[in-house]
Amino acid sequence: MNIINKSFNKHINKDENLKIIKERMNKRNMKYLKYSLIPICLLLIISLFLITNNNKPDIFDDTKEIYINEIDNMNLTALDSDIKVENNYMVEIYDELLNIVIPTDLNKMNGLAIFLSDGTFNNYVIEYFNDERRITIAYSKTNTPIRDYFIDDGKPSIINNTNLVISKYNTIYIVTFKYNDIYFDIETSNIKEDELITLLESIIK
Amino acid sequence: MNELTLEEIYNETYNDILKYVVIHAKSLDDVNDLIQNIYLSLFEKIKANHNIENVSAYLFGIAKNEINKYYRFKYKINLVSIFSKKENMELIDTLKSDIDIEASFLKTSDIDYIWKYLLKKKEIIQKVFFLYYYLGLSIKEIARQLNITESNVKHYIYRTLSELKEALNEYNK
Repeated sequence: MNIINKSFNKHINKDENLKIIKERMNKRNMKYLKYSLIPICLLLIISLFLITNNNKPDIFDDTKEIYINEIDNMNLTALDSDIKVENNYMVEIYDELLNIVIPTDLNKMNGLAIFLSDGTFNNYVIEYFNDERRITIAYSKTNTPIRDYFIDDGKPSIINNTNLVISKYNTIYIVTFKYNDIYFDIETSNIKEDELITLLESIIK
Repeated sequence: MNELTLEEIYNETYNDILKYVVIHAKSLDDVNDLIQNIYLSLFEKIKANHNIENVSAYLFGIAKNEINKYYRFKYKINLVSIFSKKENMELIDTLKSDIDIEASFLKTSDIDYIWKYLLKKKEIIQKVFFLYYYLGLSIKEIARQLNITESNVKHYIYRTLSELKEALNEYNK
């Protein structure tokens, strides 16, 4: 090989060109990977945002941390036939319920006692209502109040250091908690969120 | 198709594509880029499972497109004859033919000097030298490929060698 040939071979080199072609192919693959990573990263960011947002309380301050658990459906349980409702029973109003804040338009009130089919007392119920809206507070010192449909557990909220689970189905809120050794089960219909929170804060002090 | 097959294609077709590119490119300095672009384009097509029946023909198609693109974006095609009348008047017989090129170029550093020197020469000279010294084409074949006379091919070789020898002597002083 003469020196001119060597000169050409050095500057236009077959092996070197192949090496560069391979490197460029790898770079292109990395580029495609980079571009394919962009939507993945975006998806990840959105997911993280949604997760973070989901973990963020709906209402938060020094005394409360409220999570509203939206539920898609409520499964009816077959408890109706196993209970007996007494309308004329003397409903005991515990101290915790003496100063509760109820929206003023709920101008009707009713008291009930729930017994199991064997005659065993289970819980009291007081209802505040009008033609359009209703608050039903079931409570008992001995048993968890019976309800006629089952809802899954949700993320617990906190009001004044008491844990409670707030679920929402359409215009219905359901709140379950234990406060001062009393089991509470509150269900509302067409009650606003802030009215519910006010009610809960008036019970849990 | 795996990478080994790509390498086989490369090895089998490299010289033909190189010759095509050298003949059609404006400068030897652009040859590497063109070669790389051509094979990169082919390999990407193969990797994307394009069914290529005649790889060689397909490769030349890519090469043709690449050269067109190269002139479109990098150079305006020069339609002026590669030979001036004055040059045609120079006769090959008037040039010395006893230049001992090997004896003239002995140092490794000269390799780079030769490359740079040839890059400064007209494109036709670069091509003649590459086809003759690197690809080993005959004077006749070079004349045919570049569409010039054999005398002109010889003329370019001997005159440029002569000039190169003098330049190298100066360079090595």
